[in-house]
Amino acid sequence: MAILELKGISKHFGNLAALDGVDLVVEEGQLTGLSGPNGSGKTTLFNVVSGFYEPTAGEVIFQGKNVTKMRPDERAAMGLVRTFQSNVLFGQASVLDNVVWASSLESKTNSWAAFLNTRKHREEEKAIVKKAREILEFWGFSGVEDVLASELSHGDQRRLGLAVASATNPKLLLIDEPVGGIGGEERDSVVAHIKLLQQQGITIILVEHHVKTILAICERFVVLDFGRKIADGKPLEVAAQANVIEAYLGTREVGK
Amino acid sequence: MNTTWTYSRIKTIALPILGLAGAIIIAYAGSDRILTYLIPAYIWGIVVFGWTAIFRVGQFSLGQGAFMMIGAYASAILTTSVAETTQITSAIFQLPTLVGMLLAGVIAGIFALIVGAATLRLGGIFFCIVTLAFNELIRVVAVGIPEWFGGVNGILAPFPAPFGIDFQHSKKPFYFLTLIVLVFAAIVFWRLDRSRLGRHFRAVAANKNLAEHTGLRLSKYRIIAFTVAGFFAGVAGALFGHYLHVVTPTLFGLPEAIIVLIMCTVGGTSTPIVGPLVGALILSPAGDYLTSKFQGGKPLVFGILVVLVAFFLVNGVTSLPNSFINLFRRRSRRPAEART
Amino acid sequence: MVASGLAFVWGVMGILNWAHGQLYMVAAFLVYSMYARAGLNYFLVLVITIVVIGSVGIAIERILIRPVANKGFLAASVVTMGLSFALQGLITVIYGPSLKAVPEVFSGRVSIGGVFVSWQRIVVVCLAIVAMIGLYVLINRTKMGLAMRASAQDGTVAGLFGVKTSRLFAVVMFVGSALAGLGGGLLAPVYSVDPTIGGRPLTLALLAIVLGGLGSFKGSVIGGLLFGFASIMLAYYIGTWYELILFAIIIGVILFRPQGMFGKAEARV
Repeated sequence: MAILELKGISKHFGNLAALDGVDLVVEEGQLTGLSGPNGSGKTTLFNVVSGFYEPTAGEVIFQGKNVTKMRPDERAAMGLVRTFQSNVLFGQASVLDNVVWASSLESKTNSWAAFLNTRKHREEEKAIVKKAREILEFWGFSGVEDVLASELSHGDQRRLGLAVASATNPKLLLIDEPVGGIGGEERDSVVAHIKLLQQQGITIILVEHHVKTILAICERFVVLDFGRKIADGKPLEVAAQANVIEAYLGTREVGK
Repeated sequence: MNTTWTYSRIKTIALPILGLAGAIIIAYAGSDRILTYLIPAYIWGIVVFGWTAIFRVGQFSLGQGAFMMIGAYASAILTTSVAETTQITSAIFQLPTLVGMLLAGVIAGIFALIVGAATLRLGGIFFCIVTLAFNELIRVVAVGIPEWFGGVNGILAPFPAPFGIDFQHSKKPFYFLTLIVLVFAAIVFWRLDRSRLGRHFRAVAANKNLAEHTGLRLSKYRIIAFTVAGFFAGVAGALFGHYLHVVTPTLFGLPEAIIVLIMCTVGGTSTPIVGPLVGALILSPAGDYLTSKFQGGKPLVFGILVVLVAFFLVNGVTSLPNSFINLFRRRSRRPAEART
Repeated sequence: MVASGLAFVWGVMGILNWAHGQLYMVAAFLVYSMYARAGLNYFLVLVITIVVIGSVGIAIERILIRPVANKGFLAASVVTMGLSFALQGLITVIYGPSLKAVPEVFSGRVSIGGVFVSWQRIVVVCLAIVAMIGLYVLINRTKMGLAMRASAQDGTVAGLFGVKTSRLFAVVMFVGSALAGLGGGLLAPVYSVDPTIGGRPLTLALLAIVLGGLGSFKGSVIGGLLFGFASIMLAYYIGTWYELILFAIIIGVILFRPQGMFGKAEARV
């Protein structure tokens, strides 16, 4: 079942076409890699899919529903969540608070119950904190839950961003360059965790410059260039395509 | 970590009780003159809670004065008795004053809801300016339609007389009335902040993009804060009207809207009620005192004060105790290395 | 015109000087002191006032705004609001709260299309037009104007291209504040002068900015222009009800077209 369908997505900024007629179908449970040279429109695509931008043309269909006009919070409530390329966190809040604050979708009681602090609300709150701790443990933040997010190292902040996104119970998760600026063991660990997420049933689209990573974990590889889709298929095949290599002219990474 | 925990526990339990006790003692031990300083301070306290709540959801309201005006006028109109009608308000409701004040708050809250719904989707400076314009608008309307609102001279607001308690000859009943409302407001705002709603407020204020992407509908929470604040500003305005016995168009305008801001900034907005309340308790009596001494003193001093606070005491007066404690404990924060 | 001054500062520097209205008021008082009391020549007084107020603007920027510039728009607002208050208080202390009258400089009336208009007002309008043209020229034809427009678009990039931001800001504050000062000086003989007159121009200026469009620099300056003229015209023809009508129009615009005349349609600011 296709969890996400993009039909003819275009996004123009004045005369600049950041996205130009992009079609994409993502099956449930897939781990799709999305790549392309700088400026090819990857983050713009995420912005359109998550609702941050409204597309100039085209439709976004999530789980069979047309969400093109919906706000980001509505989409998140449906399970469509994204992470950000830069470190977007609640800077002055602690690590634990970051995840707890992101867990608003876990609350089933309404605002009145929250205000009056009914028993159900209290129990719900405890459950949220407990779940937040579990999420933090999964991502390797045990023992530092009181540290301010802004005081974390860059790599930790990137990971916290992923933890925050996990707190929303996503069905489709758009991950934007999760290991940008991270290398070695830390990078491998994050990548492994992303694979684990997929095994938990979350459909993932991963924007990643590092083609090796895509080859390692993705089942599918989509490449954008100048806002258009130029390749879509099995990772090894796509990586060998002539136009893909040409788009990356000059980088050593392709072909490894 | 342990130190702050205990400190905040003390704060939550002991301080309110002490404060309340103090407030009650003052009523009986002090002169009426002290009460004339405290009553307005309490009323401002009610308003500043609301402003701080709006601030803590990430917005900057310059319109609280408008809601106070709406509340004051509404209550006066609703409660005018036949005997005291001097102007042309043909609709005479003659409601008991307490009911009138409550309804006035509701009316103000409804206005806040409307204004909020129209502007809080965009928020930011747009919201700021519109609340300012709304402030001015209410004043203009009050002056411009004398048939309803008594024009420049305003309208009379009767003394409250619930359960036969005499409000006219002593300040004490009014003092306790305002104290009760203040405590109620404090509880409401405190509860709001402590619940998960308060958490959502903080998230929306801290990073609206991230908050939105985790499923928080920005406008909803802004509107909640703004409406509740509007309600209480309305009640506060009504209280003021009945306290002064007359409601004029110049009561709450732009200067008052800024005064609310100044009280909150000086007191400190990092706490939902203690900071702003301290600000109101310090500045309201100080302002009244300055105005009685020399004209223009209040704006001058307030203005300089808020600038100083912005420069040196970013978190307001109430952050001083914490700063002292930090000085003595000297906790250090090292960036944490997290295990993967 | 006053509105354009505020819009100008807002557009280029990204801060809103809430004390802008008070600058107008201080100017009016300066004119009062120098012209009505000391009897100096009106035009001389105007020039002095403009210079003084402009300099005050620069001082504001240097002393008050720089230190909090990195703490965001909110901090700068709080500070300028405090200043606005302090200025009002200061003037009240010095001059007392009562109304002062500044005599007309150009007496006599003239009939234009059946309505009597005082020379004084005509002069005000003319000088205001001159000032606006000057502003327009500055923004669109001079090199410095180019720098201003560039900074309005993106301050950091402009800096990279060699625009000396601090000097630029000084000029911008001077011009913006001077415009307020000119407004105060010009209108002092027309309306009464007391410490509270600063609020109205500020509110109207802000609304003009909203009408012109928040995101657009050009829009807010033009908005200020239009607004100023509209309010004068309305005031003249409709009389006491003009305030109500003006506000009704504004509310209408805000509800139906929040982005103003030139603003961008992106709802996320």
